[in-house]
Amino acid sequence: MMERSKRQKQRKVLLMGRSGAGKSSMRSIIFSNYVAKDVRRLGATVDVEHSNIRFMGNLMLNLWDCGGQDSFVESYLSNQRSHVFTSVAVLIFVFDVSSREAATDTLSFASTIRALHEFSPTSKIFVLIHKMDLVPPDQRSRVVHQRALELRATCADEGFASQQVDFWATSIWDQSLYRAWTQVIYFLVPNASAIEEMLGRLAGLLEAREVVLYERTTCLVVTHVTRGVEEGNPYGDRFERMSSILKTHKHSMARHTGTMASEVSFAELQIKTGEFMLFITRLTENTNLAVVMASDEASFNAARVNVQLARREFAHLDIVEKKGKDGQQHAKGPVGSAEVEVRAMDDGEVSSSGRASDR
Amino acid sequence: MLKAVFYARFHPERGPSVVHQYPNGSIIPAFADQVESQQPLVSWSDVSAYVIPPYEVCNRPFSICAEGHRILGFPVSLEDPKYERNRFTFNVCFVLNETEDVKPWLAAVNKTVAFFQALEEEDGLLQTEEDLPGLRWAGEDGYPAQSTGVVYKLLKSIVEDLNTYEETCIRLNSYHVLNLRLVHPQPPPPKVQAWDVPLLIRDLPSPEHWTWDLTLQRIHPYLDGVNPIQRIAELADVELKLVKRAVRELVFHHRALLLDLFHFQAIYTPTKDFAWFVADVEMQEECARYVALPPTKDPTPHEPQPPISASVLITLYTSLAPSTPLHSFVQTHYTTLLTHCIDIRRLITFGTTKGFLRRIYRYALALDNNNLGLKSQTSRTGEGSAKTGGSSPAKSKSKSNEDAVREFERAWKRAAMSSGWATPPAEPPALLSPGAGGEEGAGREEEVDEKLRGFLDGRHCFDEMRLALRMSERELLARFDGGRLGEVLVFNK
Repeated sequence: MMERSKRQKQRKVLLMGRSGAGKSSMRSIIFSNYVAKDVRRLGATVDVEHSNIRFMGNLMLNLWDCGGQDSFVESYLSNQRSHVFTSVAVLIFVFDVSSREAATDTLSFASTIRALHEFSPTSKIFVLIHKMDLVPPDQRSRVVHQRALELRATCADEGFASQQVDFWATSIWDQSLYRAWTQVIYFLVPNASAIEEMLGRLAGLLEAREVVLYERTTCLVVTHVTRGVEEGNPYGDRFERMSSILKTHKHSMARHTGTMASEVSFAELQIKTGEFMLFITRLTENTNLAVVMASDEASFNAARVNVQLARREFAHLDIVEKKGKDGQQHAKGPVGSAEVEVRAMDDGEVSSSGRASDR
Repeated sequence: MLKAVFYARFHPERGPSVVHQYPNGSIIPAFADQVESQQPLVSWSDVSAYVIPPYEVCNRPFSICAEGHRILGFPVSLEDPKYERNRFTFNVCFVLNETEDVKPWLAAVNKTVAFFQALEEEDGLLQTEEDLPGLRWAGEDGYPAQSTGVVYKLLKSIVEDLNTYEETCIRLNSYHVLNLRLVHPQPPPPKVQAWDVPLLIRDLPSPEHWTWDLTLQRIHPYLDGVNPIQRIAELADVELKLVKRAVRELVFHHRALLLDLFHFQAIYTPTKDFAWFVADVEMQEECARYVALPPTKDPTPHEPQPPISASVLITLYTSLAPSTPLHSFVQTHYTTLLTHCIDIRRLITFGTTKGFLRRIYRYALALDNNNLGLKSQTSRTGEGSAKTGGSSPAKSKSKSNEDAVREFERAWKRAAMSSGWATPPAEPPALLSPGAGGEEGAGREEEVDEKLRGFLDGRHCFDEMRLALRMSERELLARFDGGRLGEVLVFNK
């Protein structure tokens, strides 16, 4: 992908599909703080709507929400072909599962990915089978499976390897929407593995059961680390549910304080029960961290302090590309000091921040 | 000339598409060489983004030029949950030649689109028309389905009527009527002067059909092409300002012409357009008919008058020269005029209205230094006040009647608007009455001289002076020769 600057990475994402499939609705909910029932008011997209979304500080998403009307699609495939399909990182193609013209939709999909293969053969394709709420629950998995099979064959025909294509069933009325988009974001975030590694070490030091890193505006989970007991958690979809809950929380806060959902934020959120303790706090400029601990007051408080200290190191994630090796060294430094802190805690002392030799 | 009109809409599935076009084939190619179709004027895919633009840009005039044609449109986006996708976006566009002046068309486009918008908002006509089973879209087989829907017929009438009559009145039903007229913007007519003579060239509509305003009613009997404005004002007993305004209106609507004041001291001369008259036989015949006097009341019937030959007319016209005042011209050609029964006034009028005869005006300039200083434009305020310190009464008197009236009105207004302490002038200034009284002879003379002095700056023609002072030209010249006004230069222009 083209690197505009050392700090910023640009990624072009195409959002395509038939007219009325639900592309603009998804975009509004995830990125513009719409609630599911607000999207009824949206009008049809005229030609392409471009949005530039900053993610994690160093990722710039160029999202192309393309109108799905016949005349527009014709235009994308003919006179705008190279303009639209060049340098694409991800294509998100949305199918309306309730559409009566499945065959036409598949054909349209085939033409689109053919054009994509011409200009961006290494791009990733996410196929979202949308409006699942309109399918009776008992038929859902069958419908999705069938569709996926058919479309995989189409992708293979057009020259895309199977690992380049992912299928997700979505609906704006539940958390499946967040799940699919989380995967998209995870694919696009440039230094996901570095983040995971640091998070893993932090989780070990905190002795947390689970740490979840999520983006503040969209509430999409970037990555998570699960340890020990928590790995037996039966709720595999808990991350997207969290996204959904946090988003709703934002909206209700906005309503009660009379502000816009986009301006609302909190400093810290704590949930303490007999089974576990959870706190959510700011980690970097664009992300929050959710930490799940055992139900122990002392380690809970220690964890809170340690996360505060760790913030500085995670801020460096934004320019980790530039520093390269140095970035690794930075990661080592504060972990050491955090270790010092934890040991102090074990001695039963409650210490405040600022005592450790942090940088 | 309107090349084409089309109605386009953002369809929820098809996207921006042309629903109706007239003539067939002008935007979307007609289906397989249909009869009465033509080649497309522009490519739809090029302009569709501008005919149906994003919502933020809708509901205002929007036009684009492509391939030598100009498409004038006004996209409208109606927001309402009853529509699929919550919006109904459409546009009605006029296609013209790129080089044509757009001003008359802009108003027509706006009005047409407003009409369509009303059709949709009030009756939902546009949406329901699309649901009609027999409807064909532009470019489809069987377009246009003449018996289905109203839009095609509407577009057809607009194009045909505007191109033929420059106006149209289309009635869809009892409460949907579209009235369009192309108005070509015209410059305002020049100011009308008191010594101009209005001549009606077209009859005014009769009072039953068209209400005349009071001024027009009063002055109408005197609009005969002989009376100057001032005289009309006197005869009809109407304020001069109102007469001027009324006549200006008549001139603007091409119902009247302004002529010069006809009298026998006037000087006329042919212009370069005279060559045109010489070449044009039809105009010569028209002239002959116009200038011929009606036959005299001769009881003995004899052959009808032979038409005046062109050579006679041409000879007469060419003998008009800047050196020849009309009275000497008439004396020279007396016999010719008599034999052919030519009306001298009509002869001159024909020439001036057709433009091949020009009136030469006389002006007077007093070479007195005092006067020059007074009246020069640049030093009007400065020097004028300085020099006329001692002679302000003289200056105030040397005004024409109109100026005096205007001053009076202004003084009245000023007094009325002020806090009430100023007393408005008690009575209007003494206007010059025609004919000097005997006993005031000497004083009068002085007054008149002063008034006259005001005109001697070379910018007021003799006609103006004569009307204002009610003196004949001979009297004016006598005054100049009298020497009381210093040396006066008389020149023609």
